[in-house]
Amino acid sequence: MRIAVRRFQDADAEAVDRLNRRLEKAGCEHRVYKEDLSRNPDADLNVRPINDALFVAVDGNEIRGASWLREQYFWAYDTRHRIGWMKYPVAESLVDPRYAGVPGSMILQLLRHQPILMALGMGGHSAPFARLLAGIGWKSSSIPFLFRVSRPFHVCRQLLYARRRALLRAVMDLAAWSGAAWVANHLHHAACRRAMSAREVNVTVEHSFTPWADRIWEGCRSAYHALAVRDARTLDHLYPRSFPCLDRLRVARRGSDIGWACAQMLPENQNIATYFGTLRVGIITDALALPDDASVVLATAVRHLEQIGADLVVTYLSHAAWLGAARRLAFLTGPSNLAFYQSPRAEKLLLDDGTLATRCHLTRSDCDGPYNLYDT
Amino acid sequence: MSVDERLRQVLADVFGVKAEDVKEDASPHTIAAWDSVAHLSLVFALEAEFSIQFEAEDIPELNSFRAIHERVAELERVNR
Repeated sequence: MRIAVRRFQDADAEAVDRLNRRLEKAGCEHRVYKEDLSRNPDADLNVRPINDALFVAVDGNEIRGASWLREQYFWAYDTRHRIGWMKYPVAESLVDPRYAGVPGSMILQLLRHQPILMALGMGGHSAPFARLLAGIGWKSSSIPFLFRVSRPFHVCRQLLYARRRALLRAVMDLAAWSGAAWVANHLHHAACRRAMSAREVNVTVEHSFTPWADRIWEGCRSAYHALAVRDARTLDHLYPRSFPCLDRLRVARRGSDIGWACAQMLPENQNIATYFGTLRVGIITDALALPDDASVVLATAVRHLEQIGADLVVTYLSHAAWLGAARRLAFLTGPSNLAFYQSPRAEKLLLDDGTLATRCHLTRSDCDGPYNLYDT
Repeated sequence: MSVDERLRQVLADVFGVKAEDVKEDASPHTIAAWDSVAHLSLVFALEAEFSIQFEAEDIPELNSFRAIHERVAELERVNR
């Protein structure tokens, strides 16, 4: 069984269907979703700023695995670099041990196509694919998960993730009904009141990023060691007008644009209910401003989400300035399952001096985001 | 040590079993620990032990003791 990894072709459709049937028959929940090749057959970043292409592992007439490769531009060292994200890898090894070698072969062959390759999420560091990446020596870290409690009573009563153990459940109920949670949260927020101030800040909800976001991009990009290109064209591709429930917040101070944030309420689905119960959870999926203005932009997004009813506001941020801003705004750090892996070439580009991702501005919208929020 | 013995030892080390338990018919079906992560560790361990390099396309072929034996012997011959 010699496996060749190449771009999906229309003629592979039936073999992909057969793979999906084998996965389904064996009780595996993962599937390979076929690419619509008419959208951008050449994967040209001049045609579309972000390209998603399906690569398949071919074994004769059968497909034994597949992975999406998202390619886009990153801004690092004041230069644009074409990079790749590996998304939704699936292999027959999940259901048949004869194909144990397929995922490893797939990764190594994808690296030939795009050596600056990264992966984000994957269900955490203990998931098979993440362990595989660690096995081939990719550098790993976790993108910090931050949360801010807006309605402590509801959070104590509904946050299923924290209520799994009986003792913790009892403590949270006591904190909720006695008012202790409200008092503690109120005191914590009071200490952060100055950072939350909206003085001289103006926010508008926009339908698109064109053309105003280009000025922000050009003014901010050099302040970061590395980040995904977030010019207006890329943003309008990433967050099209049709994208559900997303608010594009344009933040200005004294009449000048200083940044933007994308905020939304998490959809009600089974996956999200497993963690948050019936809580109304707002997420800041993405944001950009100069590091010094991170507090102002984050505070704006928090206020917006609270106004539309969030009990809890969550976000994932990697850059030190944004983490500091979040802490000044009463965000707390929770356990993160957002594993971040980089190939050796990506590591060299992003983190040449061995520091963690704290100088790179990564958010939940990188890799497969923000569509991951809509998986059920 | 013969190629056979060295191979058995590599498989035993990677999968955490005794070398004498690695039989001729060893494969992911007979060794429970032989999953995709261990498979890649096995590839790297074989490359280190025999000073050879597998092609990425060949990695899935190394899915039994016999197949590994054949491929290692072939690459060793080429290296000589």
